[in-house]
Amino acid sequence: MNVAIAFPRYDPQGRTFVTWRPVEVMLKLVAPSPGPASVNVTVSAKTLASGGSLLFADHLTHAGSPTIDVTLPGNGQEVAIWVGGAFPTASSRYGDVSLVVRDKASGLTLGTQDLMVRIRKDANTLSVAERDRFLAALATLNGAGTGRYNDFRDMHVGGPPDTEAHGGPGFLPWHRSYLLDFERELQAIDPEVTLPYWRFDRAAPNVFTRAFMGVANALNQVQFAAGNPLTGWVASGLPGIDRGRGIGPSTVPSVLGEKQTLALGGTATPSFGSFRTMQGNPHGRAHMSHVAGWITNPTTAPRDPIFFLLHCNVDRLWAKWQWATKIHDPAKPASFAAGTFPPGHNLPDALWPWCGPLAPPRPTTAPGGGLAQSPMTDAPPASPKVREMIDYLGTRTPAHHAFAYDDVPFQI
Amino acid sequence: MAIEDTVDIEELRKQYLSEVEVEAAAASSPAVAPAALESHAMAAQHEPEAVRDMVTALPLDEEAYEASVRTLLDILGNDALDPAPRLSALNTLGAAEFQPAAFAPFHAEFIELLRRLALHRSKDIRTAALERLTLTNDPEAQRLLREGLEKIRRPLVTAAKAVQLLARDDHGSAIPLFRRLAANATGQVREQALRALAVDPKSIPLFEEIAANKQERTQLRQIAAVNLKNTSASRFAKLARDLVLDEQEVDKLRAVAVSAIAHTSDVAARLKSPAFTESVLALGASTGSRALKASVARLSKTLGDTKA
Amino acid sequence: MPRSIDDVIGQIRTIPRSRAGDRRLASMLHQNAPLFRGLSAGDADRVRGHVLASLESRLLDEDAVHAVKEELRTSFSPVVLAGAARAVRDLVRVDAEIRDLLAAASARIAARDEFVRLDASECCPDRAPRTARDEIASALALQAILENPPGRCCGAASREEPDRGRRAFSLCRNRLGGIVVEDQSERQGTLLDLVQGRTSLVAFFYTRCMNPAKCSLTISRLAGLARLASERATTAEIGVFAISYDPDFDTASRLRAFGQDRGFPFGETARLLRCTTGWEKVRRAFDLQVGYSAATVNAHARELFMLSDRLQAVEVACERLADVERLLADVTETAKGA
Repeated sequence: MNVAIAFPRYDPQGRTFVTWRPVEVMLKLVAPSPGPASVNVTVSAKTLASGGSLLFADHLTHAGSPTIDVTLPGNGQEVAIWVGGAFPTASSRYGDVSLVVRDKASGLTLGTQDLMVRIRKDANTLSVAERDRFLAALATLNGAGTGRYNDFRDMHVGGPPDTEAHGGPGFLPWHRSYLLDFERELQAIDPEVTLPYWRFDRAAPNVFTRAFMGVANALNQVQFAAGNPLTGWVASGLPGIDRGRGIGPSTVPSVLGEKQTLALGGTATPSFGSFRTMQGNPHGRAHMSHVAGWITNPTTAPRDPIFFLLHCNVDRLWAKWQWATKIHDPAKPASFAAGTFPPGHNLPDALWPWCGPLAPPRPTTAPGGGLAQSPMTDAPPASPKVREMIDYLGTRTPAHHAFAYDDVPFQI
Repeated sequence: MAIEDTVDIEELRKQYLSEVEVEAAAASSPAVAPAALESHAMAAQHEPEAVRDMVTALPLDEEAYEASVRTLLDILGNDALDPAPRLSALNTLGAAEFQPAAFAPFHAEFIELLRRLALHRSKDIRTAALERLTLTNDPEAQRLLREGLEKIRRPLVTAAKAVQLLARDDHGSAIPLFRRLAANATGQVREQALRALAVDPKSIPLFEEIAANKQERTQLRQIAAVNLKNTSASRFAKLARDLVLDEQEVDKLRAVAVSAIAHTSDVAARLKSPAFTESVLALGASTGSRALKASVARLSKTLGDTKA
Repeated sequence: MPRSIDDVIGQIRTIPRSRAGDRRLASMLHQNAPLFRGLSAGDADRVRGHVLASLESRLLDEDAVHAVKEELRTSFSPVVLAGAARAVRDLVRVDAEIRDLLAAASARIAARDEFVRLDASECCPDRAPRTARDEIASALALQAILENPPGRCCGAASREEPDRGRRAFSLCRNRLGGIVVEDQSERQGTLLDLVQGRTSLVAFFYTRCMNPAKCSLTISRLAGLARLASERATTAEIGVFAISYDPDFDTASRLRAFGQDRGFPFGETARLLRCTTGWEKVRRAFDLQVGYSAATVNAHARELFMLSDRLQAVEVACERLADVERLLADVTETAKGA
């Protein structure tokens, strides 16, 4: 007798990944006939050292419990439970946590499923193994200047693309989509990788090292340890990374702190319209905290990989504001800016460049093509709209984006 | 994890929100008004540090944006002020540029001002201006730098810095100059010139010569090796194999070669063979260098994944 | 020793207002004109901007109007667009397309506007410095202030047909036979082998093109056409090829990555290519509008040709790639006719 466990999604290698957002998992008793009328089982998590944790419930909730008892009918009828990562305990690699189904009476194991609570983490707290996997995937995506990284650079260039990315309240949704596209490309290379964030309101002594994002010399050329995969970095045909020396291992940039940033949205009646002023400070100032180099100009910033860690933190701040204010529902006015804005900056607008075709009035410049898809979810669609980038955790609908932050829980 | 260890998410949220409210109350003190900064900066007895601090605190939200940028441009262009507050203004203007639609009406004036400051008597100011202008391949800044290197005018920055800034434009016209400097200059200038030739197919023989020459500095050889990888996968594959298999070679260079093979499928495919894989594994087992060991581990995986 | 750009611009300004002068200036609009040789892309833009500005109030032939419109359609350079705005000032009131293109160009450079100095300093001391967008706005304002209704002016009152006035020529079999090309998979052969016996579309591009409205877009759209051709499986086999302007740099792996990123459906009849022998012959055979600095391309047009199975070539407006259905239908028709 055993229990078949069916997660809603598996990747081509048969692996499954979850975030804090629970997913519906089907359990089914597979027993020789004639079998028992039913079997009582206990579902729990088995966590290895530094592994992720799971929570279980019989409905979609943020308040699951570490175990759940379930009665499985002997006729093989499926029973649904909800399984999500237990905030804030994320995995560091695949299989460091397993879902285990045990016979409640005997304690015998009837089924297991390895998985990973895959969460975006603070770059400064990554383990060496996590850091190195991320760097290796990043270098592969860069492909020494011939990889898909070029596309990400071209999406963010000056001119009409710039208007799509920065020219209105779509700034945050656009960059959320951009980061998700980028992260999914990294995960196509190594599914255990997530995009880490650089908390630019704190010192990051483990990030600005030769072993990770590098250290700039007097000529603003970033130096790496031998063997760091970023040694072969090429962007826009130019090898290496051009970055000023504004941020050292102990530098705390002069930007709004996390809570100050969230306070921008207002506390009595918080609104996205107020919160989005964070585009200037801390976002713009975080770019300029490096003083010089690619990262300090909107057109050249994506040439420096620190750009993606910086913007991941910008997105995390929005995510945290959404959680703190419970404003996830795009139908609520406070979730987005009121008014009429240029194309790409209104709730119903499709986001460029994923929307295609490349035709006026949107930028006709390449690259085109849809948003990279994830084996773990269908959301957002390949051509996402602004409104579809708001409820990334799927608090209102099943359409979650399969990413989450290590300090932003799922909450209904 | 025991049941009592689960986090009460709503409680966590309320506590966090109360902390945000404290921050909001603290921030309710008025931000620096652009007009106040302007009048303080223009006063004969202004304090440079106070001006700098006020510049840093200038708001960039929608309401204050236009006035703030106007003030910042005035401060940046004010020759009566010390370099420190002006550089601070330049930095804040850079932050304002990350709202390009709002910055658009000021862009032309900003560029014009930077071109003027590229010739400023303060080295810090002109270097900062040239840094900023060359990010967008400004032809005027490039002309000034090139003329400095060609000794047509007094150099505005060091020769190495000038090469580095000119090299930002891969559609520039300084390649012949870089080729000459990479062959004949010394020290930092030669190193920067070699970097600047990163994707120059005509310099392939120079890259091969420097990368293979044990009399050259390791740093230069490393740059030459990476350049060769960028310009000719087949010729880099040969060099990389030689570097990896040469037991007398420096570990740093071998690590660079191994890492470059691991992350460049074209090169890995050219080198894949049982004998090479065996040599790489042996290198990983025998070396005391952690970086080299890590690179070998990555390359072993790549060679295993690469189709023969 | 590089030429002084100021000297080059000074010479442009002195070109006399005569039919010969007009022709000389118009010939400078060609990206392969000698005056661009060796210049950086930025300097080439500056010179081009002044060439364009010098066309102000001169008689523009159809080719010149086409060249100016193409700049308005694709350029991201403030000085080029400012020059283009001056070149077409007299056409603004009679050509609605030009007005649309000017407005689009102004929006394109909104966040990168610069002061441009298109006048000699001694000529117009009373003229305040203008930005590129000021120049465009000034050209557009003429439309509003001129009371005369649209009428005949300068030979370009109506919208041009996309391929009107485009180049048509025969390719020499022997010459193509001596040109060796390599595709994204390092397969080599002669250009003749590739194009003879089938109707082909041949575009030109290079992977490090900085203007996303040019090469990147051309290959993205060409990829769409190639996919459509493959889906339709028309009876006539149609070749879809793109050849690099930058053959030394654009190695097979770079071509492969560039195509893959734009969904180019690589196959026997859909390839990205670089020339390994005879690039100069290709340039001459197609009269390619491309100029070079010492490092790479400094300016180029968007160039697309349809080649018949008998090696008759006709230039096709790159804008037609925006409607791949229609273009494919036309190419298929040509192939069937053959």
